[in-house]
Amino acid sequence: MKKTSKLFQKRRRLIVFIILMSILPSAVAAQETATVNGIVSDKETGETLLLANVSLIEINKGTSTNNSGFYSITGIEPGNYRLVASYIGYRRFEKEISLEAGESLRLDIELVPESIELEEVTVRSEAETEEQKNIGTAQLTTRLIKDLPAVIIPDVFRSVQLLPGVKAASDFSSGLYIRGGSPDQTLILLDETTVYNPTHFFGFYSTFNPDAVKDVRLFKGGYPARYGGRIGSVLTVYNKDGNRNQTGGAVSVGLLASRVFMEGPIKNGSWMLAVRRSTLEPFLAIARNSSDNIPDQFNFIDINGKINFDATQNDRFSLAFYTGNDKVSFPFRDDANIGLRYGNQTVSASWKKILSKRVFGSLTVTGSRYFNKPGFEIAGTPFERDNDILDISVKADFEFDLNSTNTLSAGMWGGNLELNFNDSFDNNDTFSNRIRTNYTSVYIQNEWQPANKWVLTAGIRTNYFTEGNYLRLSPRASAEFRPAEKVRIQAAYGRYHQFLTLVTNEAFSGFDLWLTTDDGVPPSFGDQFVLGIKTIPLSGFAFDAEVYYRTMRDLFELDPFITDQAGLDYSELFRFGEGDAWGAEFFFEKQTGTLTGFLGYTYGETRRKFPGFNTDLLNPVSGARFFPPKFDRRHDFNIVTNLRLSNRWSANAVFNYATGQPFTEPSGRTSFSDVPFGTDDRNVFTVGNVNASRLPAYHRLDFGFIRSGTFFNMGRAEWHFQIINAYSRRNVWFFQFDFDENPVDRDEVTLLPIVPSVSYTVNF
Amino acid sequence: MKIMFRQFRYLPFLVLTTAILFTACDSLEEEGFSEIPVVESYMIAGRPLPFVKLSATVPANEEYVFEEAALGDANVIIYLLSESGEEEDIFRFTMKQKGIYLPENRVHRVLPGRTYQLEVTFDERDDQLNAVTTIPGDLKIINEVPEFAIYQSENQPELVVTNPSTGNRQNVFVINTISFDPVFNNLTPFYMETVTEDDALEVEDFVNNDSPLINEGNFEVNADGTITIKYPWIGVAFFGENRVVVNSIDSNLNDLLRSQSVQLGGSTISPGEIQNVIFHVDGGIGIFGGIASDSVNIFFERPPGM
Repeated sequence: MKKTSKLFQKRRRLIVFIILMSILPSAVAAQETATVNGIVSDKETGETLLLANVSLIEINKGTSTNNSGFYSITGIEPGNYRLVASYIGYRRFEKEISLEAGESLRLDIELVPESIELEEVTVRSEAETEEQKNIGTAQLTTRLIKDLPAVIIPDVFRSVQLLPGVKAASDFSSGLYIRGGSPDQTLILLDETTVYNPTHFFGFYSTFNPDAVKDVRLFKGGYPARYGGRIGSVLTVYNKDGNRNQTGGAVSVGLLASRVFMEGPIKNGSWMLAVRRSTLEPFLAIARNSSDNIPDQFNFIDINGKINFDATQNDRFSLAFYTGNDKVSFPFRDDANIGLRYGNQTVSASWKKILSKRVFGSLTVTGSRYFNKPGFEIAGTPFERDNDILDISVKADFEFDLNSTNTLSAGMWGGNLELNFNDSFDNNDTFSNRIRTNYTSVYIQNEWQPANKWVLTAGIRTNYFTEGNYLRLSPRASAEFRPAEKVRIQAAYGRYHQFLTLVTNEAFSGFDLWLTTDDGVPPSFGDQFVLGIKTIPLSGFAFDAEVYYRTMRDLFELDPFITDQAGLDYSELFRFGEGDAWGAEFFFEKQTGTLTGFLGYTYGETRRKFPGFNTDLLNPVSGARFFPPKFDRRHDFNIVTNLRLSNRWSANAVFNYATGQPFTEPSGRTSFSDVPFGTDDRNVFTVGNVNASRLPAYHRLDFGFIRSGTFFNMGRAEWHFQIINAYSRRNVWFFQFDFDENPVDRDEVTLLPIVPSVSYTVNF
Repeated sequence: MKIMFRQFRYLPFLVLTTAILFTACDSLEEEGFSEIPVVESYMIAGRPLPFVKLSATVPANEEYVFEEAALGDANVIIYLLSESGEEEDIFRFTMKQKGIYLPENRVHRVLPGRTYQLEVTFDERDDQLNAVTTIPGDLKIINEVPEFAIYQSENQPELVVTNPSTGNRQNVFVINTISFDPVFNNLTPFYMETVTEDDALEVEDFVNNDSPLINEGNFEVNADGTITIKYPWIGVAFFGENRVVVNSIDSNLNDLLRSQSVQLGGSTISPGEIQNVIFHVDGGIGIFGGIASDSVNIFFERPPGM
């Protein structure tokens, strides 16, 4: 017994010694190391730059700026260093710095825009040359968005649709179908505020004005604990802050929409205002002379604005807003009219503060409203719907550089969400549902770098939704290993929850409405597994590959067979199901030189299953079967290129090839001709497996030319000449069946034909 | 080049993972056509037993003619069930012509609130069809409905009906309007323009003009349990004398009609996706539905200046 006790004590002393030795160097290091931090911004405009790289060449230590343009490098041994900062489209910044023990150096960096992409770069550290791309993340520049051939006007979402893993449902929809998820599975944030229906023109365009946008970042999957509320992806859009140095702007006139953008400095700050409006009225007026079926009114408008103010070197305030709406009024008979008004309004007020050399914080108050008011009046009988969402929230986020190997993030997001949904028929309220719910999320996440080649991140997010009293935990984890220079292997896992569902029609987003969880309607959830590799095979090139698998459980959607909601309990409106998605994405990019662009290829599969749907007709008790939704395109290939022809001319092209979308080929038909009311036969198809057939492949070539010049020496001007669908491929959208013919007539409904477009932009 | 190859040595791992994921998954296959027996019959409260139609589905791309799809040599029986589900009465049918079967009992009146079971077997087929319907309860229009109404005036006709509900589901109504003088010049403005502009539509298409399915929740339930139905002007296709019929339908017919109306679009289903309609027939497809109804005549007058 005595021997055992002595041995135990020896072991205990050894353990204590080991613990002390592991803490002591850190403690000693903490006393002696230095920190450098600051804001990275555009020298010409003063715009903060998000995800800019900052590093110390000699020790190969670096970081990237956060969503506020702030960076911090800690745990630096005293000494002399060369600090470099870089960002695509800007000249490299270098500065010699000297750090003493315990010093915290505040260094704000201004990067000069580079008008010509560099062919060669000289000495670069590993941390500097790699774009700080986290797993499942993609970033788009606004220059690319504006330069790409676009259907009439440049659009953020249509540019995002070109990225691997992101699919479009049709030429008429800007909806984002990401890694097998429907558009409502993507959280869309504008300056930290949720946008509920980010579309104009019934889904043709997004609400984001490229003139106003500074940063567009897509977390396709495996997104970090900072975000939540959707089981798929997150798209963050940040609008410009405004030029802090001079007043300027741009005017762009296009065939069907025009834009005005202005920005300028105020004392210790800046402002920005961007207005965009459709200009269809002349075309409608001409068309009305020859046809009756032309809307009386058909327009959209949106306004983005922001004002920023630096109270101190460490305190920045900003107020941003967006307002936009679409209006349609269409008399389609003498005694019949359809009208629609829908839109969004957002506002966010934020305070960003550098709390200490190691702590950065931000506090944001947001408000978001989406409204949708369709109405018909037919033969004196009105049908009206009134749907609106009001979401008021507060969010706080903190970043702590605990030490040289640990960065802690934490925050909360709490708010009140009110959804109103009212239907009336013949001036009587037929369905009225009002849900008011509070929601709270709290997250904490630590990024740990135990060794040079490893970065491990773990976090957890807690979500609480009062409507239904749902409390959910969402763990997140990711790992990154750098086995060699310019190679990163990444893996991520996350559990995600969603408390909202979108009722929409892919062909027409004007009647979109959101519904929420409630008693008997639990939140949906899913797990995501992602594995990827990011490389820089050669200077100026990037090659990424990722595979993913995700589950979707407790999906709740409006039951498509419910034609009248009146009198039903809320939970009876829904069908509940599940889904899966898996795939692989490959992305090859050339970033420098006169020819730039990227190739993207995605293999993806997704499927859904809902009880009562896609059952065996003669054996329904065998249960529902999985079927692929319409956006299940197996192979999707995009080429995007930009070629600088001369100082004045550039050309760009986009080619997309995708294998056919699924559709249902009916197998049989019958008819019920003796229903005791009405005169029409009720014709019915019988189908085997839903969506078991495939449409022909989709492919389309868009190209454009940009001519740069001046506008009477008052400012820069650009002509954009574009051809969409250059060889007028009549891609099939779906087959339409006409039972008025016997046998049934089947027609192809095709997508866009060749569409030319011209626009003229002046920057002053 | 050496550097590139070193970097890509991790790529086969990713490709292998990809291959494992994809080859493990089955892909969906189209199912070819297979003939399915179809039944159609509607039990209306207070009326004699209906005929039963039997046919089979035909391939979707072929012409459909009932007479060619009709099924003969069937044994058709309808049972009246007791509350405990036992057979209380039995009604046999005989084939009048191929595909159409008439009841031998011409006296029995369909009882509101009762449950009937249909059973079909064939002499030369293995198929066996079974379906059950519970007829909605008694429906009567109990108020004095004005005989005349000026179209789109403030005096919108109201019909107060007894509540035909038999279970814990709300009533689902269909209101149809049958014109006694269906000529072009009698069409109300909306329908006149519709017929004029759409070559596929004719005056006859609106003689029996039916509403979509309307849930009881759209109407006011009175303190005595009756339901006040405000008759919508959109239901009036013709000026002049019309019979306005209020129908309450059972869950079988409700499921068929609501799913059939959106099978080819108009709901949240994506374009090109076609789901099967909801049937409640074992061994086949079709409808064995129950209806309770009552009607009233109203003369819709043309307002001055129209």
